[in-house]
Amino acid sequence: MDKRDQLIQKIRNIAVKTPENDVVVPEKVEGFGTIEYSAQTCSACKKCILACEPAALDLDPTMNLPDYLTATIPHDGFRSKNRESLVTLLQGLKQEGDVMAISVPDGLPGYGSIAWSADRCIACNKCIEACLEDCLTLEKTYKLPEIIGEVKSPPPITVSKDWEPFILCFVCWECSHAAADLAGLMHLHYPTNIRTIRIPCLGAVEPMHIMTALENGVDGVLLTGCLLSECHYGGDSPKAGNFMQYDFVKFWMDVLEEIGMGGRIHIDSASAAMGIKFADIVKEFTEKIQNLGPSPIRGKLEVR
Amino acid sequence: MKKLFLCTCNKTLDKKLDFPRIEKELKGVFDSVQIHDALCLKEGLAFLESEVSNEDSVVIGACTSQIIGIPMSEKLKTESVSFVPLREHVAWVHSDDLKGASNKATVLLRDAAIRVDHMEPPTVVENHMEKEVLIIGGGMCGLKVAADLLNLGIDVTILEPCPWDDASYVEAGQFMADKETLTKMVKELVSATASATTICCTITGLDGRSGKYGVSLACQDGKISTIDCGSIVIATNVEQKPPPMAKKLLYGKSDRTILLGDFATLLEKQEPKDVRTVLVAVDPTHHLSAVEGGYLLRVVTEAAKNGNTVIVAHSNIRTEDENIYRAARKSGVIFVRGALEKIKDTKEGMVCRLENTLESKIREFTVDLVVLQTMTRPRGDTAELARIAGLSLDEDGFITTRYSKNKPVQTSKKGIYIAGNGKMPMSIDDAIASAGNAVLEVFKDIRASTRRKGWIPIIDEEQCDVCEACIEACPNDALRLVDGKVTHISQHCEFCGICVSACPTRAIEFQSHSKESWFARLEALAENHKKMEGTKPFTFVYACSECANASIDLAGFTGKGYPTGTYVIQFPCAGMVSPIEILKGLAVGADRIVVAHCPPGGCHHQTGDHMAELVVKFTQDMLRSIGQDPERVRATYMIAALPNKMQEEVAHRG
Amino acid sequence: MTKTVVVIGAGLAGIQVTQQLTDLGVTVHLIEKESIIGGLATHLGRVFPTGDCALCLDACEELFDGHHRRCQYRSLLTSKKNLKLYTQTEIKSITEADGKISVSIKSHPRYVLLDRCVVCLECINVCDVEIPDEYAIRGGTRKAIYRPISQGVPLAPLIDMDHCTQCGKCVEVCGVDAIDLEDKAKTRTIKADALILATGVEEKIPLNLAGYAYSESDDIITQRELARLIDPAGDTNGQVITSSGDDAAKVTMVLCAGSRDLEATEYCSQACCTYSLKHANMLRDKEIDVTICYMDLRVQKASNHYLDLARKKGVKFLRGKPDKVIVRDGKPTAIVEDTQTQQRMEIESDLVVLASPLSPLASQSEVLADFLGEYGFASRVIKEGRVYACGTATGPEDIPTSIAEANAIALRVYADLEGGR
Repeated sequence: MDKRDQLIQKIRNIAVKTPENDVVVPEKVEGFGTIEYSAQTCSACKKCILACEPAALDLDPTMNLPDYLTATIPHDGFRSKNRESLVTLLQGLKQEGDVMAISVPDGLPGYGSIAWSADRCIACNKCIEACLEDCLTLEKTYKLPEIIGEVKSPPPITVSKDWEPFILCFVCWECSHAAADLAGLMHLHYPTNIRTIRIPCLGAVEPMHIMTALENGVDGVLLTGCLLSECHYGGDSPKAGNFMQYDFVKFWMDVLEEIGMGGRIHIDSASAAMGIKFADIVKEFTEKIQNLGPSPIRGKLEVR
Repeated sequence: MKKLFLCTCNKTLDKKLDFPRIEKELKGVFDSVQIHDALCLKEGLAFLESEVSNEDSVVIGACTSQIIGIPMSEKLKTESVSFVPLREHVAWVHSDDLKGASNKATVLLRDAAIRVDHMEPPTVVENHMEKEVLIIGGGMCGLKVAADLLNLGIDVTILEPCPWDDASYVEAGQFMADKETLTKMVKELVSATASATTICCTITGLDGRSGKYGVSLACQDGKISTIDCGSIVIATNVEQKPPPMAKKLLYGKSDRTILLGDFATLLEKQEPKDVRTVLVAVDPTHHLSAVEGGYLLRVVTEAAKNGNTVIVAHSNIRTEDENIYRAARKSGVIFVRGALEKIKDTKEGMVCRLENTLESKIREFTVDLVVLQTMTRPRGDTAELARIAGLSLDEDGFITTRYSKNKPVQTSKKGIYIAGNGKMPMSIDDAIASAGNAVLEVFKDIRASTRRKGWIPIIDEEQCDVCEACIEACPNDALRLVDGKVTHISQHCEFCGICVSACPTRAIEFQSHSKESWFARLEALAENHKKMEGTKPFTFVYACSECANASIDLAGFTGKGYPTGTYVIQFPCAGMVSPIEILKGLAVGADRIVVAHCPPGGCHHQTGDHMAELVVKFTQDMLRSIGQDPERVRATYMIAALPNKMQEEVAHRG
Repeated sequence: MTKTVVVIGAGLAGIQVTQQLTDLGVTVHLIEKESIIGGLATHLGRVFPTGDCALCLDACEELFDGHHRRCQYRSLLTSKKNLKLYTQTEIKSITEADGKISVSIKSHPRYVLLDRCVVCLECINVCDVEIPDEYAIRGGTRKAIYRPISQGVPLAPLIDMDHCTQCGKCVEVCGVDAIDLEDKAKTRTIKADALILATGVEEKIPLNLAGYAYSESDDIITQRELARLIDPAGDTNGQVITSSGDDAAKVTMVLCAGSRDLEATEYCSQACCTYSLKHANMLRDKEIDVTICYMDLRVQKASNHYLDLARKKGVKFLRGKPDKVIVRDGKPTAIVEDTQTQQRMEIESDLVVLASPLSPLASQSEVLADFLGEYGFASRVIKEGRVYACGTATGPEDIPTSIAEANAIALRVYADLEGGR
């Protein structure tokens, strides 16, 4: 099982409600998206399929007639002259009524359409680069409902009186670890519910880590890094770790929202001089989780 | 100059066509219009020769190009010629409709005028064949091929997977004839092929083209080598396999159930005191070939002559020689109609229960031995060989020929021939004939470098998406992917244009048949039809220039008339028709489109009939989906033996 | 020096061997007794194993690069440079001297000049004579000037002088002076290096076959005659009708009618099982009830699909050879014992079709008698370097085998004449 499969499996594991909406993929987040395909210009040359490493594309032996009939010529920029002729002729001959896709007879080369599987795609853009006919585009949405499918809600859990949230906190080992240290030096009190994991940079946190934590029943995941524009590994570069993480966590917050785990993840920043802020962040998040109650996954885990 | 020549065919066509009116209509289209009474005769040909220069383009409205095309082309100095078969496709089939026929003639001649505008000179394809021939299989047939080729001064290499042994040829070929004949023949052939190179290897790969094949070999000593050859003759032998019912009859479980070949060996060593009672079982599910039947009869006759009691249980006996059947019966062999149902291995012997259909009752025999009629099946490595060479196999695993009726040794690949048993079990006479036939084909290829002329596909690399659809579609291995580009192997090209119908991008166009030319022609045909005939519905018949065109010609010869408003448009092969030409035809207003191809499996280019059926089915689905009547498009085969086909296809419209 | 070969018989094998030899640069004189080439195939319409035209030829290399098949009418056989075709020609004598073989032939006049005729067919239209057509089964007629079949090669018509009234109408209407009513028979002697017999077979007309009443009823016909009935270009337009003109609804076929029989024809004709099955399938397509009475079903491997198809289409099979076929109340009736049920049956049908044996045509010629062996068939090499045979002249066989044999003989003759190197 490759990493993407593993990740999706983990999301399925922690899902407690059926997602209903596609999730917008923020600009800086890569690796997630939707390949939009316009059949009318496609020559079924299979170049995209050959380029696709995770085998997210396949040739579907159907001809997408509805697309053919809604295409506008020459606006769509047909490189394939024969396809252009076919589209023009079909549009000219079209009668009243609904148009359905039709299947291509077995053994007839040169026709077919591209089938894209949302759960395999890593939005790497290679197919789009390989396509000679400009029939593929990458949309910044993630088709969560299609990928996750239907989710059965776990049984509700009873909250015991002595329940305390369990929060995992990823801290970068530059500023925010120093902030945590400072909070200690300053003898600031913050809830004991957190366990910190030190990592080089927030940019190094992978969704897999977050999902694994949630899968194992943590009630919340907190990520703290350097101040905006002050990442030790990128400064104010648009590629700097905490910039990445802001968009990134936004994306995963939306994803968790869709699957019924909303609010259980939070990102913030604290510089080495901000021991107080660090303590406040932890306090606020702990309170938030306390209000949310224990992770519904605990129920799942208990059932198991 | 664009010139039109019309022929009245001994002043007979002018009774069915209004020549003065046609001439008047076409004055503006051609620079000159001339009418002759017998263009096909000596004086007519001389007239054409003197009237036409190499700068001209010419339209000839006369009889079918199938008859006059080649003789006239020899006389015409230009290659820009289009023929309109006014006699077979117009005058003779619309003899009761002078006006309609003349209108149709005008429309078709105008179409031909556009056609010559798009005409390109055909491409000359030369093929030089290397003189070396590789013969795969050194059995009886392979040796015969080698002997005949050596006799003609051609170098051969014979390839066998096993070590050489003269006696093994006799063993392997024992079913083909009696041992005496075989022994004598092997002796002769072995001495006649003494100068042949022989190697013991297996083939692992094949590249190159007809005339210049490169064969990769893995030899027994582990060495890997290649051999270059111009042509390849497959002369692989067969093996004797137990029939499907063998297991039921305890073959492999009891040593009293044996195969026919083992029985024959047993007979050779049999002492007079060892006589047995034997039941020979023929599997009713196996189509017995004549040569298998002959083998069976020879063995059982021998057994009976040796004093054994022989019962043959069968449902059909096939043999080429009725006399060996008679000899078997005369020698005392008992023939019983019926299938062996069950046997039991007992102390007394094998108890065989069989239903005798002649007596309608079940009988039991107790015999010493049950002998199974063997099935002759291709040698084990045949399938792998076929895969490497790109040949197809029939349901029994034999290699199929290009066209079973009159291309007996040609395979689907140029320069690769098949002789003898690799194609089907053969008697020695038939195998020797097929060897001679293969040698003839090889020799004809080598004797003179062939120069063929025809229109070929032209590839526009800029436009090409390298989708390989054309490569997949080409039935003749004439398109290949070389260094990431689609490359045309002109020596393999059959000038059919099937590749063109598959291309989604128009990166491959057939000379003289560009899509633009089709559009121009179809638009003009419709426009001219409407001008002449108003709203009268019209049909386009897209006919291949082989069987379908012949059938339509013959409709003329046999007077099987049909209504005017039917325009036959020739394609080199029906497989060249794509949905675009069909939809274009409908778009310009044709009421119906008929795609006429060769009979199933009978395409002259191998797959055109099948491709045409697929394309039409696909187009019908498109039409259905967009709310059009799919019945407006039809695919059908037409052959000369069915000259009524055209009438049937176009008469029931509307 | 160019070698010369005489081929006797322009059936499929004769044409094949001729085309191959001429492609190899040998001059061939092709001699045919009928007015058109094609032999038995001209009667058959569609043939196995491919189910398409009988008159399909392997195209010659000289004109067509050797890579396509061509219909007989478009084969341009007569345009080949080193091929001389003699139709309506009989062999008068064959002698051997000075290492050459001399073949004396007599060509009967066609009365239509091949190099003048444009095949406009006007002469046929104006002819007033109507006589029975040899290719018709149900009373179809032809003119005294006629083309035997539409694909006939040479394409030009011929005049049947036995029935011509010399009215001169055809001459008058022929604007290209192609008709010569004074045309005479020509005799000539060809000196050749080798002779090939491709004389073929004909379906024996079972006039004298005891018990089968062939001569008593026009509804007892042979398989060749059935082929003419099925042929859409025949006089019934492909309708299978009885002698009284009604559509046939029930047909019984008798295999081995007069074959494999020491009292009649001893050998098995090899092809009849398959063409009977082919016809049975075609009749089933017209929803005609078909019963096949047989002893053994001997189908070539390449044609097994005909048997499978026949079973699928509901052809009835009855193992047993009818003792006799009688005419009762005007209907042919086969009397047969079903050997599987041992029931004696009387099958009344609209048509009974006999698979009559294929008998060698060479045996009808005294001149060729010396070349023939058992049953009137020849061996492939009759005399090394001189006389050969191919096609069904060597024994009954199907078209693919016949074609392969013709090709092999072409090579053999070429190698023998040109000498090995």
